[in-house]
Amino acid sequence: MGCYRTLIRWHDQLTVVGYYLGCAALAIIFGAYIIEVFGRYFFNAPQWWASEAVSYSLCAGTFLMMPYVTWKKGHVAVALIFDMLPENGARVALWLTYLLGTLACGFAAWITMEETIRQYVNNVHLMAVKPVPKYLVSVFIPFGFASSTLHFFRLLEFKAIDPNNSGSGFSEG
Amino acid sequence: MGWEATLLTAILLLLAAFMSGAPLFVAFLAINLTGVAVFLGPAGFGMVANSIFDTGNNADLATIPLFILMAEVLFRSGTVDILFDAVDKLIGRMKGRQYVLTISLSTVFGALSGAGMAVAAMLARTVFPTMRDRGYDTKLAIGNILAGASLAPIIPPSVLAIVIGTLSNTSIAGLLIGGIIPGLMLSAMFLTYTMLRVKFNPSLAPDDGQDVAPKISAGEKLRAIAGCMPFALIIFSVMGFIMFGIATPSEAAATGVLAAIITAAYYRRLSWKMITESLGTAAFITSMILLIMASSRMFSQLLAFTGATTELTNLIVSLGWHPMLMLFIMMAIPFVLCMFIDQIALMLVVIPIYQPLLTTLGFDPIWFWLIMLLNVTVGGISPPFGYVIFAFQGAADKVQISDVFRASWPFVVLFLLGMVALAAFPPLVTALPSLFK
Repeated sequence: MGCYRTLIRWHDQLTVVGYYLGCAALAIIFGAYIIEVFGRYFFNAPQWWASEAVSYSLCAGTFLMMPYVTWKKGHVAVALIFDMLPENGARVALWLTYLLGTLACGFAAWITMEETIRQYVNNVHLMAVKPVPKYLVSVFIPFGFASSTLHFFRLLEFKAIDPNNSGSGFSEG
Repeated sequence: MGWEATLLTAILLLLAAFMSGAPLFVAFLAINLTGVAVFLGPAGFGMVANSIFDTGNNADLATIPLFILMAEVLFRSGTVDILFDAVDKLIGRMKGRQYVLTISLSTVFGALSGAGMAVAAMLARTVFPTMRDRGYDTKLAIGNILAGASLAPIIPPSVLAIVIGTLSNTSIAGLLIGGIIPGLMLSAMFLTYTMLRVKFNPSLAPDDGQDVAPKISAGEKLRAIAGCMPFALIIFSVMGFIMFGIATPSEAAATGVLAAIITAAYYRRLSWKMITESLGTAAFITSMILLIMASSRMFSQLLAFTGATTELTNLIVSLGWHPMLMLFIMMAIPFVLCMFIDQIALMLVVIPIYQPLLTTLGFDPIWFWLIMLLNVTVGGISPPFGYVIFAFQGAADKVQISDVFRASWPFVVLFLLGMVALAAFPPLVTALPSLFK
């Protein structure tokens, strides 16, 4: 049990690290565009790397942040069913959604990891001014899905499910 | 299985997965992985992985976190309070001035924020209690706030416009610029409707004696206008840069963030804590949105692979119905579904089906998708499950949901009238984008 708790704590800490790296990725996106715009207009020096840094940071940031969003139950969902069902029914329905999340994310983690390994083995590079190995960017995708799988799996503990806290964020912001 | 059955099954399964309460990205993943297994076999799973990568690696979508970050900096730093006070001072004495203030503020906030929920929540905490205390009609006040907040996704910057532009391969700059006139037109419609109601039923607003505007000197008014200038700089950094071709929408969003930070610093509201919190929220919401988009992308590829998209286009051509009738049908379906389903999720289902039809029907993409933008935006204030409604109710004290529902309907009708106007007079949408091409 102690070992399990330690693993949980490590997983939480890893998730928090992902959160901060996700924030850093957004800061890089902002910085890259500002340097690009100012470089272009004030120093007549367009930056070849800016657009690529933005793409890579967006991909990395999205999937580094993903486990944190899952942990905080921040994913967008149409949560009407939980309000309409009686408490026990809502608990079962929530459990089923967590199970679906575990299965779907687990499967996605597997296929994206397989694809990343294929890119590494075949030495696939991204088409860019300075081509970089694709796996260096795509590796964040299986990380996000795998860590989210664990979070969904941890939510499967039936007694801990709170039907009044289904989470569900809003996509519009 | 014929293409009709495939298309219908796919859509019904997807809607059922949404309504099951599962996270939307999980619903899309589950359906798409199943679809790939059925139609393509295990060899297709690499395509799913690549479709996820392509979405996550799309630099155009970086506009989304930057627009959210810009609004976060402004709202979290409290600099919008200064704008609030300035607009309040600039509106003179008149019957129902709080209604005018609400709609004016919403329009200005719409030009600073890309999403309606934050605006609705803010107005619910600030303007609404004052209106209620001063004896304004609760339902009309709520309706004003809901409708005003719904201008945010239409007036640029708009997160939904970025999503639509990226998915439909339509010019994002064109969609953003095209949203200016419809947004201002709707704002004018809300104002006209409200003032007409006050005129014909004066009890909807308290007597002037009870709702006196503060006495403001000309000097104070000038100071209020000067106070708005930094915000004008933000708006110019975004829209001006896009319109004059100085920067791409993503770059303009970044300059907008910089202008927001400079504004916060100018008003001595800049702090490290505020910046990190803003970054955290923006990155969080971005991950949420991009995951749905990344997980859904395979859906359109599956539709194309099964031949459903081509066959549907052929069917529409063979029907030979009037394009306006088709437009009505194409808008009616999302209008109804948006009452129950998340706007972005719905767009992800609808866009791959509608996009091939536009050329066949001879529709201008910017015009069509702008009307669609209004259509899905109104979903946020359409009972029974509008997000803006819930954001308002969550932030406002002691408000019955039934009152909120009743309050929203007249403004839903105004939105529909606005859509009819855009459909009848396309230049309302296309004139500005064609000027700045």
